[in-house]
Formats: sequence, C-alpha cells, structure tokens
Amino acid sequence: MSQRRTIVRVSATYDPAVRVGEMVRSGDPMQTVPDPDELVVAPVSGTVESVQFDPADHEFVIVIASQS
Amino acid sequence: MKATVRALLIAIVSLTSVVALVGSNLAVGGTVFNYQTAKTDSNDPSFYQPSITSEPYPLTSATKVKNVIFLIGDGMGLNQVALAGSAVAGPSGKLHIERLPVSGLVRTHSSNSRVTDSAAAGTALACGVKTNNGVIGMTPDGKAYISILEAAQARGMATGLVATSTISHATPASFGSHAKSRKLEPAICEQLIAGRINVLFGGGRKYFLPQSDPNSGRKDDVDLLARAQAAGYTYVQTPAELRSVDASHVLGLFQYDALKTREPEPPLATLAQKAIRLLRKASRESSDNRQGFFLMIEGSQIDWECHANRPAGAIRQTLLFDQAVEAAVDFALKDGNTLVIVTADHETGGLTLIGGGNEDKGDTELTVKWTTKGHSAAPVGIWALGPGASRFSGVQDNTEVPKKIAQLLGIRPFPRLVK
Repeated sequence: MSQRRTIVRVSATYDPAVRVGEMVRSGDPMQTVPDPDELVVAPVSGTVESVQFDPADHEFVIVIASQS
Repeated sequence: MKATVRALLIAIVSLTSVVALVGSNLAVGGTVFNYQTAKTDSNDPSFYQPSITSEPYPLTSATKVKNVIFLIGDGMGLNQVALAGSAVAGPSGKLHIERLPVSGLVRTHSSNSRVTDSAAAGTALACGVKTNNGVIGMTPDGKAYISILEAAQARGMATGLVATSTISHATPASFGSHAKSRKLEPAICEQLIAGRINVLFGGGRKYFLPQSDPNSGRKDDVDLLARAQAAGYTYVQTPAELRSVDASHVLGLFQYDALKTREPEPPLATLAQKAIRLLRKASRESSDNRQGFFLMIEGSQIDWECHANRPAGAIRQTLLFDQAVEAAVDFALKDGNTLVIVTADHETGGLTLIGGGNEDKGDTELTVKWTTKGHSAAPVGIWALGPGASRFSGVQDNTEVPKKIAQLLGIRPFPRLVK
C-alpha cells in the first residue's frame, strides 16, 4: 500500500472544520458554511496532513493523506 | 438559533496561538525579540515611527468636501489595531488611525452570512448594497450597482485604487468592477482599465499578460498591458519609474502576484503619497478644477496574516497600513477640504487580547489568542477626519458608509443601478 495525498480547497472566510493530525472520513464536512450548496466534504478518508492559507485565492488548502 | 450560534462559537474556540506582549518585547512561539533592536527579524517593525503624542488630530470647521481618501484595512478588527498600537507605542500610545478625531463602529454582515468576506463587504462599502459572499459590485440577483468611485468619476472627480494585493483582489475590485465571482480577476482587470480609473497601484501583473507569457495568469491572448497603454495609461513597475512618473493615468504593477511588502518595493505609504500627488494634479487639470478626487487605499495583507494566525505579521501589516493613514492625514490637514475615512471590511482571526495587569506597576503583559482561522462577525472600527467626519460617528451598517460619502459629495441618487 502506498500513501496518497488529496488536496481539498475551501473558502478562507469560514473556519476549517478540521485541524492537522485529525482523522476524517469520506463525506465529512470540511467547513461550516451558511449556504449548503457551498459545503465541501472530504473526498477520501485519511489524516489531515496540512492546512495552509492561500492568499491569492483566499482559500484554505487542506491536504489529506490516505492509504491507496 | 441562539443555541446554534452558541454551539458554533464553542466549536471554533481553539486557542491556536499564544503570544505574550511585554512592553516592546514580543514573544512569538517562544522567541523573544525587541522591536527597537531586532533589525534582522523578518517581522521587525522598526521602520515604523510611532506618534510622539496620542492627542487626536484636529477637527475641522470646513464643510465642503473636495477630496475623499478612503482607507480599508482588510481583516483589521479593533483588536488588531490595539495590538499593533501596544506593540509600538505601549498601552497608552496610539496609532495614527486612533488619532483621527471621529470614531464609530461598523456592522459587517453580508446578504447570506453573518460572517462576510471581502467581496460582499467591499461591495457594501463601495456600492452601498448588501450582497452574497464572493460577489463583486452587484446584488445577489445579479443587478450591478455603481460604486462610490464610479459615481465620483461620473461627477468629474479623478479616481484611484491602491492595494497591496493584486489590484483585482476583492476589495479594490468592488470599487472598480462588477462580477459574479471574486475569482474572475482577469475580467476584473479588464474592467478596471476600461473604467479609466486614473491611478491603479498594486500587484497582479500576471493578469495583464497574455497566456503566451510564462508569467501570465490569464487563459486567453488578451495583452492588457498593451491595451492599457493604448488607452493612455503610463505603465510603471519599479520604484524609480514610480518616482518619476507624471501622467493623468498611471498603472503601477509592482509584482506578478500580490505585493511582497518588502524592499525594494515601494511601501504602501509611498504608493499612497504618489497616488495623492497624481490625483491632485489630475483633478486640477480637469475641465473644472474644483472637482477633486476619490482614492481608495487598502492594506490587503492584515487579513492574510490573521488567517495564518501570525501576531507579528498582523502587527507589521497594520503598521504599514497606519503609515498610509498618516500620509493621507498629512495631506488632508494641509488641504483642508479632504475627508479621510479609515475602516475595515471585517475582522479576521477572532483575535482577542486578554490578561494584562497594572500598567503603573510595569505589568503590561497581554496574551493574544485567535478563535478562528477564518473571518469573524465582530463589528469593526471606523475613524474619520476632515469636513463631514462627524457623520461617521456612532454605530452604522457598512452600506451606510458610501451613502454618507455620496451625500457629502452631493451625489444623488446613491445607491443606484449601473446604466
């Protein structure tokens, strides 16, 4: 098995619902947002490896490490 | 509803960063440095000279508003101002922002959220209407509203935008364009040029280059630099070119992306001073030299440092912004008919300042805590100086700010739809 990294981008306006080191399951919300249409969920299960702010796009870049 | 809000608040209270502030000594992540001596520290704010007095700037008896300088600190909540002031001037000192003689509060919610983003907040501050987060210069149903900058231009005033982000980022974009999404920066740049705004200073050169250029941020062949120059803009990209330029329309793009806010770039205060000089001349050379100018200046990166929950960076960016405020105030006090307004679009980071002891006993320690990595719903401050400044006291919605400016400039009706 090898480790795979999945990048998820969410708006930086709202606090990410996950922190580095936390386990997430596929389908878990990555953020609490006012508009359900904007809800971003984890596409894979794994461990949150990093949460970085991207100023250019005003988004958080969340990296999920998972086994593939 | 209340229970939901309370639950959300509990959920987001993660104390991610603790900073002890003791006099001029700031400990960040265990590293102590002194602002007076730490020249090599990347966050050294020794560039900043605090006011020798905390006395407020004078009120004016003038009533005629000729020029408006509108300064917006992105993400600059009241505690960001307090933190930066404490860092350089101690608990009793004041930033230039805090010396403006009139102050008030601004509520910031957007159409679809208690927590706004810079697009919706910028639209409120520019156009006087609420919209959804992410939308630039139009209501949620897609109706474009004229911005106070565009209305001032239509009245014959010279206009300018200065930012430390890309010039097409959400806040400056809200004053000079209309777009369904803040992410449409290439199209927003086209609107800024087509809008004939006299002065455009910031970053974002990549959006002005065709896709054939390796540094381009566009997905088409539009050469917006060439288009701007053909339309009469003088283009500058270095401090030397900035110093020497003297034209009615100037496009200054000092980075491909956002500004670095480091040398050799011109600092925000220098950009502000140059913009004021150019706009004053442009307005004097207009057909009616009584028309004046409207200038929006944004300290874009306070927000970015607060998203990263970096206190020292937030302090530095707030001080860079405060220097631009000082430049605006210097001009306004000499001119006598210039209204200066300083506010923020929203607060970022949920910054709190706790602890602290008896100042008389030398106990000035503060603890800095962040409650979110996103924005908060906290109201922000507003400060004003010059004719009409008193209109901005008290508690107001962010949509009221440009309406008051419009009233003072005799612009009616406002808000109004783009024709």
